[in-house]
Amino acid sequence: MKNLHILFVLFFINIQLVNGQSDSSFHLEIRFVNHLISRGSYNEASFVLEGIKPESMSQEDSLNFLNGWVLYTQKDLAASVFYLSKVRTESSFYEKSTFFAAYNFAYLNQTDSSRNLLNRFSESESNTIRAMENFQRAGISLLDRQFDDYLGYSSSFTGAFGVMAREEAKFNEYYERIKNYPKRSPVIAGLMSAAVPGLGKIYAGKPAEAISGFLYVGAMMATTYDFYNRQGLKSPFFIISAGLTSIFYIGNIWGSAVAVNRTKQEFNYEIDQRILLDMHIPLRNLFP
Amino acid sequence: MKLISVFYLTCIFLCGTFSLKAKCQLKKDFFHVADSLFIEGKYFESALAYERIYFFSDDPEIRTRANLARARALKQTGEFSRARNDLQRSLNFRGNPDLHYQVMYEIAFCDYMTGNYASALSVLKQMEHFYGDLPAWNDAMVLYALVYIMMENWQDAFDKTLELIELRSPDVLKADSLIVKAMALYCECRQPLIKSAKKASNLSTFIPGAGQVYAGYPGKGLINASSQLLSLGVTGIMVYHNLYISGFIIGLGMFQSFYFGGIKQAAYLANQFNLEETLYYKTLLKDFILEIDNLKVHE
Repeated sequence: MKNLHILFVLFFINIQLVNGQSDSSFHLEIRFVNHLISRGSYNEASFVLEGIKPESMSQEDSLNFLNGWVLYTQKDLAASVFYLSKVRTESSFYEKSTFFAAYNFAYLNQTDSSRNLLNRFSESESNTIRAMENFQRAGISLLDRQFDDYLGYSSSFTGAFGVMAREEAKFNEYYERIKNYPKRSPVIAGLMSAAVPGLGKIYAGKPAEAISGFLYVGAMMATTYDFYNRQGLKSPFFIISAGLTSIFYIGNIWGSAVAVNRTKQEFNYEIDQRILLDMHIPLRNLFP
Repeated sequence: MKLISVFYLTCIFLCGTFSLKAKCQLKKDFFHVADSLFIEGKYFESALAYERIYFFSDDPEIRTRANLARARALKQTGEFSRARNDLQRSLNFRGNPDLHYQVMYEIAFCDYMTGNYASALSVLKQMEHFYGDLPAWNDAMVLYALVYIMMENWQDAFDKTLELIELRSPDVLKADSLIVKAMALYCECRQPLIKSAKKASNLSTFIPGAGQVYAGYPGKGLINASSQLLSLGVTGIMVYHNLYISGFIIGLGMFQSFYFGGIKQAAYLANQFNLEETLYYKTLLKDFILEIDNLKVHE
């Protein structure tokens, strides 16, 4: 009889637990959303998230985080920031959300907004979080080419945090590369190409374009000389050839002047992409 | 005392029974909702609803059914690759041979639709090995023949077409006429004549325009040969007028562009010709296979 009593009680406890689970449909939905995200079904995950109505602030935080995360994985960074930055301090997703929102802002070239978000960690008690904040700020300073600020942040690099030790060293390397990037003048490049076609492009850092420009303009000059030599100044072939050669010659000078800025832009783009990548890797290490 | 025992046991029985019934009903309802969405043409929502059943169910058979239904919904939206990846999850379920067969068939079909013919063939061969005796296997014959056609394996495609004719023909007369048609279609004289890109470029190297003519584009060959002649003519005239430098740069510059361009063009055109011819032939064969398959519908 006693056993039957216990069986009855256990059975009803079990029923209560099952009912309790059905009540927490929110958690089931979140599990389902996580399953969809893990399978890469982001559109479906977004669709499910849209249909979930939060019943508490903590549920709203979870939804904001997941919405932001889905959008982040879909590379819709502007929309992702909207949700990630709404996650409250009390949430367990707070740190991850805020760091990724700040990173998204940096990627979108809105570095001031990124800094403002990172201010939230200024009084954090965790050494790792403060080190990550410092590291992200260093990256943003490099993106903005604010070298004094960078030196301030990089002086706190310790190499002691495994999640970012390698990237700290890389940031220093990028800093050196940016600082040592040669200053080139478009005027000098133009003058050099005026003297010898293509020479300005070598100066601008485009040797392949220089060779091709030299061959084109050189061949046209040789043809023009040939027409002048055999048929004289009044020959229509000479006039046409001289006209075309002049256009290509001047174009080469102009192209060399422009190439200086083009090379610089390419260098800046490449280095910015590297900085952004190295800002991202420690975040993924810290918040897998 | 006895009454209390009876009361407890009755409670447990009733609760257990209704709890199980409720669970079954719930699954049926989920399927009903997902099926309704599919029928309404809401394939995205329907695929999601089936995925929900897959995720929340513990029963491997229900999961497989949900997965198959999801694949059908995804196929409607053209997401064959995703459908295939999802179906892969149910390949290990061997509890129901019919379902396993369907999963394999859908995988082979999705492979076919995504142009992954070698993989489709591999799955079909496995199906033939495991389920060659099942009546449902006959339905896979169409896909089998189509895969061989797309792989340009004409002999095996012909064999499968004959098997299909045998399966689908309502009578001997119809079968005979279809076999005659099949033999005519698969005859070597009807198969696409493949032109060698290497031969085309070699021809153009020695005789300007000849590679293009070989590839089946005589007009383009004539234009290329004329361009080369014209540029040589310009060179000659310039040299005649003592314009040696200009003749070399302008005339020979133009000539080398047309000459090397012509060699490349000949190879490209030969490949283009092969592509068009093969595509045309494949379309003919595919139409024939579907014509045979349609006999089943009219039966």
